Amino acid sequence: MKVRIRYFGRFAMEIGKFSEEIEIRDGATVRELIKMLRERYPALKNEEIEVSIDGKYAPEDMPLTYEVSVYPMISGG
Amino acid sequence: MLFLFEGDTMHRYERQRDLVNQERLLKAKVMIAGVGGLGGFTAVNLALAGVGTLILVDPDTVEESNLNRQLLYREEHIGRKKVMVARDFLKGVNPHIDVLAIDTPVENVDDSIDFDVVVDGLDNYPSRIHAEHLALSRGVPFVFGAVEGYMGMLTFIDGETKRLKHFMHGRVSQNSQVLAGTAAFTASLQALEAIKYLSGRGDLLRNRLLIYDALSTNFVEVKL
Repeated sequence: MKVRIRYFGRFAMEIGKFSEEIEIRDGATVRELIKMLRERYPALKNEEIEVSIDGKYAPEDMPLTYEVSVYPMISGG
Repeated sequence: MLFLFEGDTMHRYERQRDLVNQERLLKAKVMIAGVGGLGGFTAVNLALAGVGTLILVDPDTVEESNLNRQLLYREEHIGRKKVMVARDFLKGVNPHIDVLAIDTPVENVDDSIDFDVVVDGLDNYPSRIHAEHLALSRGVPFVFGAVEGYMGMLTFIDGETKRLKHFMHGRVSQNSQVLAGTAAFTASLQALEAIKYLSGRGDLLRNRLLIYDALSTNFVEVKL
């Protein structure tokens, strides 16, 4: 299946893109997406990666849909 | 309330008369936990709006590296306590409000301090967890906000919403890069949440985490 990912914040800066469309197995979950991103982008290897799908917080066992947002939790003030 | 119409204050708030409950704002006490980038811009917004009492909590002194984004401070303030400088600045913005300066970490705030809302201007999660607890244990809301680089996020937390522990999972990395515009934008939205809450207006960001990235001009709202 195809998944369009929007990257936020330092993730976008670290990998050099704001969005991309990737190919992943049908029925893949958030956990598989995170694993794939960590393998594909060394800058994300040690990051805590948060995902939202269809405007909702996506736990790791949630199946992916076409549109996914990927963001870091941040703490600056 | 008679005091609303004394002196200059009637004209001062004339252009927001239909937008807020000015009487409630003038009576309100808002704690701003941390008066750096976020907290400074929040404080200015709330002072302009006529929130009657601002309680500033921050143990830090002004550093040169603050000056790219922290509106309240100038070079001549380097080395001075932030809350003291901030109090003077805010009294200049609006001399009709009270500003209480508390020169301690939020963890040490005295039980006798009374407030209606806590707005987050902190820069680390342990202190945020404490500030959230401080607010919720008193039955008042906590307006969370955080910034990094071109990115910001915020949500409104009360006794019935998800809390920080529900959407902050694992380790939160710290990156010290931040811009004035990011802090100002996030803080303005936080201040508006406090003003809406105090005025009883609008739809609060309850159980909704608003995230934006100004570098790509992307916004996402995550239902918590």
